[in-house]
Amino acid sequence: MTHPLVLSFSVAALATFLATTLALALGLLTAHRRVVWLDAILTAPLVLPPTVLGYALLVTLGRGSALGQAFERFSGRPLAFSFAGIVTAAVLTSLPLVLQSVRAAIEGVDVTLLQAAKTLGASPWQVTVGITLPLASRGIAAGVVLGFARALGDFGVTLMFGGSLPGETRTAALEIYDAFLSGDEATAQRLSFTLAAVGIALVAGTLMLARRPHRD
Amino acid sequence: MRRGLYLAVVSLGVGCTKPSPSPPSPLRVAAAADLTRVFSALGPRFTAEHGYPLTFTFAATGVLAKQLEQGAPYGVFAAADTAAVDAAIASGACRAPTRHLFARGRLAVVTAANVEPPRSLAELSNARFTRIAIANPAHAPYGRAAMAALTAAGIADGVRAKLVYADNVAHALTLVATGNAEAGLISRALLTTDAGTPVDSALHTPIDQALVACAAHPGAEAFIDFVLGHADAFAAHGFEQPAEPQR
Repeated sequence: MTHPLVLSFSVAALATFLATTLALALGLLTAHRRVVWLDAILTAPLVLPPTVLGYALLVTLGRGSALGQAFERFSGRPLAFSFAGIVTAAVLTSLPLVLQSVRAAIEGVDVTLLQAAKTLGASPWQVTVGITLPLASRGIAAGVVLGFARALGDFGVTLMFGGSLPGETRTAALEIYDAFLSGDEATAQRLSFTLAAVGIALVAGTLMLARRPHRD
Repeated sequence: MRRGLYLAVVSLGVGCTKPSPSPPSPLRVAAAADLTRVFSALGPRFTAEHGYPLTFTFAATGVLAKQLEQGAPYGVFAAADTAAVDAAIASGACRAPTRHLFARGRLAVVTAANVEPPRSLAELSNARFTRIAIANPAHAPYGRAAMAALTAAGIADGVRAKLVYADNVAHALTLVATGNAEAGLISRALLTTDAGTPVDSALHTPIDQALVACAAHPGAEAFIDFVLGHADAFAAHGFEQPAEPQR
């Protein structure tokens, strides 16, 4: 059976990849302009109670919903209480953090450089890939690390939308809860220390990325 | 790595005599928290006899019923009350013909290590008990039974402010075992020895345990038969026979 820590890291890695892809697309499309309500909705998972998010996922992607039924027809099993389901939950909770960092980094790139490139005949795609993304890379990396840390630590949304199926949706965060509830303090302690150490290291990494001056 | 290789070699050797293309997928069993000890003891024996690995999710009956209703892929649902099983059947998650009663749970009073046990249930209203742990009556059958017993003993109002609601009955025991509550009303099946004082079962409706097959799995009905065939294990863990005749 998959170890809870392995499960946690797999979920976090996949969720971070998906959240980063989404954040890059959204960041590039909405840089320098504010779509207030879209922003509010995408940032809300940072401040909403996990129970609200878990309930929202069950209502919009659970068995009773049109999307949930479409997923079930397509994949043969419900999204709720599955590995794919908890990855979805982790994307939802880590996207705001990745998006904030990514967009700030993209907006921080000197506009005169982009205009100079355009004057020299670079296509929008060349400007994005050749100038914007490389110059924003440190901020993007910070967002990726923060998003990963957030996805790794999710508890409430995962519990509500994923249940606690051993080896499938019982991540390390849930295993700690389960071990604690049933009096297995040794396991709770071991996993708590591991997640705390990883979390602190990841945040330290983000801070170092933010502090170091740009090479250019 | 070396052990993985060794296992691979061994399974190849087994494969020569008895072709088995892939190991059977685990049977997921959603079980009420009071079944933690007895199911954990029976699990390896079932796997040895039938070949299906088991994964148990122990939680409050109401929580598991809700998950099943939302499509959680449990092959078997073993609940601490029959209403939850009937609701799971009604929602279409589980299959009525496979529903069976298999045991009846007993409520017991436990006290923390340094606390003198109460001589009667009514003594829980004594000031020396400042915190009493019970499972959350909103979704845990033992919590409902505990509230019923406290009400029948005439002390529900007196102790209400002392009650600590645990997530499930195993959590209630943890709260007492760690000394965070002086006493608790929990399942006798979670206790290792004769610790704890059984509560008069006339004070609450019976805590009948029922199980049912849900998500399709070839081992689901074998597991149900296995449970029904091991009444001795349930008796050894402090369960009683259910009154309703088994089907």
